Amino acid sequence: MHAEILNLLQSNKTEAAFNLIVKSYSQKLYWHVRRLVLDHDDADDVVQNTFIKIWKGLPNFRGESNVYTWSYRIATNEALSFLRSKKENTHFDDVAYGISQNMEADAFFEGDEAQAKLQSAIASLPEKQRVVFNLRYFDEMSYAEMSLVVDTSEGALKASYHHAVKKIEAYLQKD
Amino acid sequence: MKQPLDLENDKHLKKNPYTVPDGYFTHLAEGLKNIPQEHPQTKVRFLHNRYVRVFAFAATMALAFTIGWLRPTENEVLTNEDIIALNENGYLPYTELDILMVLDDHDFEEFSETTTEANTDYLESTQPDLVEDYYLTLENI
Repeated sequence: MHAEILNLLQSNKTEAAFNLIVKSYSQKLYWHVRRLVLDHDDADDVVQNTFIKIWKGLPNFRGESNVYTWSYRIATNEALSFLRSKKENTHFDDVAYGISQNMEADAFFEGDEAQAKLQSAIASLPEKQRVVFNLRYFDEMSYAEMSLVVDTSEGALKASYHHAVKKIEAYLQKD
Repeated sequence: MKQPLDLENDKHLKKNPYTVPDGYFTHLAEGLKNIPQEHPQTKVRFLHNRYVRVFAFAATMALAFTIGWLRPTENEVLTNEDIIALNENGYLPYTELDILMVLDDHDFEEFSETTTEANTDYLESTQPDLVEDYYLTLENI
C-alpha cells in the first residue's frame, strides 16, 4: 500500500494517492481518534481535520516514513490538540475522563459495565500513555511502528505500556 | 476470592464497545474525497527558482564582504603624527614633553620642522628649559 501510494505521488497523481489513503485508512484512523476523544461527533470533526492535514502534507511527503504511521501521527496530534482545546473551555480536569463517566448514556456506546469501566480506566491515564495503550491494545501496532507515531523510543514505549496495563488492572479491580 | 484480571488476554474487554450511525463510513469516505476540491494546493515558488537562489547567495556574499571591509582592524597602530595631532586637538592627556620623550631622532626633527610658531611659543612659555636644551643641542651639532 505504501509503495502504491508513493508511486502515485511520484507520478504527480496526488489526488489519486489521497483517495487511496482515504480508502485504506479512514476507518482505522476514525477508530483511533474515537478511542481518544470518545464522542462520535467530536471524532468525526477530528478525522475531517486529520485528512485535510494529510492532503496538504502530501506534496511534501518524501516517503522516508511509512504513510500508515505518518497518517496515524497526524491523527494522534489532531486528537490531542482537540482534547487540549476542549479542556480550556470546560471545567473538567480531564475532558476524556469526564466524558467516560457518562459513557453508558451515550447512544453510540454499546458496551457493558465492564467495558465502560475499562474506558474510564483508559481515560484516566496521561495523554501519551493513553495513546500508547490504545495503539498496542486495540490496534495491535508494533512498538517499531508506534515509535514513529509518537516519536518515542521502543524501550520507553514498552515501559509505558507495561505501566498502563498495571494501572488499568488496579483500577478495574477496585470496587 | 476474586480472580486476578488478565487484561491483555481478556477477549471481551478487547471488543470495541463503540458504534457509529448507519452508513457512516460510506458517507465519511465520500465526504473526505471532496477535500482536494475544497482545499486546492497552493504552490510556493520563491526560493525554488534557481535565479532567486543565486541572487540571494550573491547578495549575502556582498553583505559579508562589505561588513568585513568596513570593520576596523584590530592591529591598527597610531603613528607618531596621529598622536601629535590627537594631542594638539586635546584628545590625549599628554604634554608635549611626553611626546618628545617617545620620539626618536628622525621623528623629533620632523616634529621640530612642523612645529608652528604658536606651538614654539607654547613650549617657550611652558617648558623653557626644554627649549633651551634643544637650542644648545643644535649649537653643538
